[in-house]
Amino acid sequence: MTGAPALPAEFAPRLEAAVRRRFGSAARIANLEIATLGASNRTLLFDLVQPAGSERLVLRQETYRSPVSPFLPPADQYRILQVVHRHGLPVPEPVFELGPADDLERGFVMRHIAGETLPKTLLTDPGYARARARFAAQTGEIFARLHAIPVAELGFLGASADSRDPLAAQAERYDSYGEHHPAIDLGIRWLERHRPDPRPARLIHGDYRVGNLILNEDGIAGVLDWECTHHGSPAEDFGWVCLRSWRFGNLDRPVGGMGERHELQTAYAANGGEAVTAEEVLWWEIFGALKWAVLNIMQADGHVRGERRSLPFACCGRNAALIEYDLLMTICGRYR
Amino acid sequence: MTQDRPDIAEILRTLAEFARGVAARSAGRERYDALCAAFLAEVVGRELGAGAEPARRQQAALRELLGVPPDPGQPYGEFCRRARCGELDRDWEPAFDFALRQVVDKVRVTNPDYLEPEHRPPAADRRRGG
Repeated sequence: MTGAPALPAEFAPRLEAAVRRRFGSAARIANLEIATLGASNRTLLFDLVQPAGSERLVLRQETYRSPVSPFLPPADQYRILQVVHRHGLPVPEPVFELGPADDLERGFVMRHIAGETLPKTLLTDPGYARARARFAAQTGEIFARLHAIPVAELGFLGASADSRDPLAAQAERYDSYGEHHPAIDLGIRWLERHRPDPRPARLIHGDYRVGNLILNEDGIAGVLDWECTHHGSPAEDFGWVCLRSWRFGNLDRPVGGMGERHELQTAYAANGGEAVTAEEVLWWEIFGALKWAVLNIMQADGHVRGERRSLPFACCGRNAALIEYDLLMTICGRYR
Repeated sequence: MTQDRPDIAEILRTLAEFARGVAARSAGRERYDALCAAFLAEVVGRELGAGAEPARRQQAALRELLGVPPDPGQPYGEFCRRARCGELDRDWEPAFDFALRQVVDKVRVTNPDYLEPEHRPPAADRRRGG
């Protein structure tokens, strides 16, 4: 990728050594490239070349650590991937986890899924018209299958701040940045006063949205980015995928800018999902706006403190205002 | 201060034009960074164009709503504290109106096109970059 930050010289030899530990001395790597530098993880692509042939793999490395980080460490993400892959959800197959001997920070390797993740392409390219038409219903089916996985299979997630009280978790993170945003404090108060009735906990993706999904021309091929997974209300995933920010300008198509709410609900119910009310989804959309604003403040905090200097993270700090606007306009009923 | 040209607004426009030019002939991360640089230069231009009026108006509104003048070092601190602990529940409507007005002021700087028509700045202010 042009303009991508270069990898340290020792990186490729270490990755090749890590691969040889798992696949034997004849294995080597080729075509290493940085795919993305995300909010909490770096994704790299490479070919695993063996005498029998080669395959494309993906290395996901942690790039952000903080006592108030909202992101699960790679070891937890790897365990989640193993479980959801075993249950047959469309996710990259986990291959191996990095260990201390690899000397490559924390991360894991999974199989590559071909397709597209760029929201602009997915929402406008005529080649993805069929995928767009199926998106809401496919999402409903995926949610139903995900939410049906017994939470005991990933019981350790129950102790996370987001599982115990997601609103308190956001408030604690926001407070840790030491900023005062009237819209956010008012939003926290509104959410406190209008909490939906508690539900039995389900396994929640926590960041299911266009951009974290691989689509091909037929639809959703892979669900990525499991670093926000926790136990919670199934309506949380509904609210997040319908967030205005994740409609990418297609505001009249609430499900990811591609589909309708009724398509999502119908497919969810048809695949065994429990009833989720419009009021609950609205609460979680407002919660989602608050969470997304806090995440943007977090990125700017990393930039301003000097821990993660980055032009995009600097922009995040100012973009938080746009999400605060959505938050208030949704609370007062102007936006749905 | 200087009266020489280009003035600050023109310098920022120049930087933004340069960054957009870099973006147009780049790809990947470099293109994205250049677009971010252009955006940030434009934000600075709009913030300078808006001047001190939004802050003055907000301070007056806070004084009326809270009954005390805002702390110059943390102008929103008292509002946020009271909102969080429920002390503004009985004044929800004026508190909400203040928060929305404050956010509108911020979005006018960040990206005025994002706002609904009734919240956008007057056309004359936008031409000035405010």
